Formats: sequence, structure tokens, C-alpha cells
Amino acid sequence: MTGTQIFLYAWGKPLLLLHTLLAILLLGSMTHNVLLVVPYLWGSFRKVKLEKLYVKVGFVSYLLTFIVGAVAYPNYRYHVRALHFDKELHWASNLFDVKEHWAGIGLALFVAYLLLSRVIEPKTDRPMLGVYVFLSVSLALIIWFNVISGLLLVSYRSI
Amino acid sequence: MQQSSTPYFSKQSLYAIAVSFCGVYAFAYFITEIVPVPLLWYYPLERSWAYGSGNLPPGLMMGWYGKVLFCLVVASLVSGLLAAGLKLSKRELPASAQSLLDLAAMSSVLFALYYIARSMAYRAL
Repeated sequence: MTGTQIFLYAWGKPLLLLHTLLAILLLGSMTHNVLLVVPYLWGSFRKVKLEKLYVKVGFVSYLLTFIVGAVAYPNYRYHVRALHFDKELHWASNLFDVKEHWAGIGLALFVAYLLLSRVIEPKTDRPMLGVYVFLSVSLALIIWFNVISGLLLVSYRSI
Repeated sequence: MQQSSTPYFSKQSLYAIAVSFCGVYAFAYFITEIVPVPLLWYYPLERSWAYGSGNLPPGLMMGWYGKVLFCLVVASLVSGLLAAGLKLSKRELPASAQSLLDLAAMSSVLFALYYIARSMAYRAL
């Protein structure tokens, strides 16, 4: 059994590049989103339509980033983690696992966030804003953490 | 709050369903970290799958796909039950119950994120 038999082995680098580009789109949309959502807490409701557009763009880019990452994951698991990180850089293996688990939890947060974004009117639905802002901030933090840790990890070794 | 922004569920019901989905999902994720729940496992070198929690075939294995799938199923079932309950009873959650659900869901998410970060920080390979 060799590593070349791993699913989409030959497509490792293009998939990683696509994963990174989608993550940049995601980071941009959700950073803009959180900057518009947090001011809801003190009654500033500027650009509500634009904020909801960022949620849609963010959700699609999150889903695509997630799928491409999941497809490229077996390649990482063997060629990077098993052959290098687990032997030489334990902290890198652990950091990647935090990233993957947080991304897994973020998936559910984004499903809930998209649904709330479609039904909530921020100006009138004040009791719902706490959870809405919480989801936006949590997602932004997860995405920022994942992008930074992902870039750090590929600077050591990549597929 | 306004009622019936959608034809099938009221706004409050959709809100409760969404909040329960993310809270239950995060809780299920935490449970898979501390309890050996039977999951789907992928063997990248063999390109094969196995299901279980113990007595799995040896080899390089990946549990993340199964973990995400498990949590999606559990969260969908629980929030689906809540949706069915709200629909059949033709009632909304009382404001106090909704506040508790909000608090439980947010705590569940924060704790799952914290637990994972902490356990990975101290994990020895």
C-alpha cells in the first residue's frame, strides 16, 4: 500500500489552492458581516440588506471550503500528518485537529445563522439579536483562527 | 415579535429550531470526544470504510467524517422533533423556555470549542 493510492492524490496542490482561495472569500465576507452585525447591539442598523448578502456569500463559501477541505483531507492525513507532523511536529498535528474540529462545529453554526438571517428583522426582533450576534462573532473567530492556523501549517509542510 | 413570516412555521418557531440545531450539534460533538460513540471511520490508504467504536480494523484511520455526520444526524433529529412538536401543538415556546434554550445553545457551543482546544493543547501523540 502506497500513498499514491490515496483519493485524489494527484490533485492535492490544486485542491489546496482552491481551498485557500475559497477561505479568503469566506474570511472577507464574514469579517464584513461581523462588523455590521455587532453594532446591532447598540441600535445601529446600517446596511441590513448588505449584511444579509454577506451571510449568503459566507455560507456558500463556507460550504465549498468545507467540501474541498474534506476531499483533500485524506492526502493531508497520510502525506503530511502521518509522515511528518506526528513524528516531528506534534503541536502542528494538534493545531490542525483544533482547526478541523472547529470547522466541523462551525458548519452547524452557519446552518443556524443562515436560517436566522432569513427570518430575523434586526430592527424589530430585538430578543433574537443576542444569539444572532453570538453566531456571527463565533463564526468570524473560527474562520480567522482556521485561516491563520492553516497558513501557518502549510508554511511548515503541505500536501 | 411578528408572527408567521413564513407560510409553514412562524418566525419564533424557526428561531427555536435553528438555535436547538446548533446547540444540539455542539453538544453531540462534545459527546463524541468523551464517549466512544460508534462512528463511521475512513481508511485513506485502503480507501475503505468501517463502522464502530471498538474492534475496528487496524491501520491509518480518520474519524472526522463520521463525527460530523453523526452530529448532523443527531442535531437534525432533535430539531426535527422540536419542529414537529411546535407544529402539532400549534404553540410557540414560552419566552422563558426560549431564553433557556438560547443560553444552553450558546454555552454548549462555547464549551465544545473550549474543550476541543484544551484537549488538543495537552494531547500527546
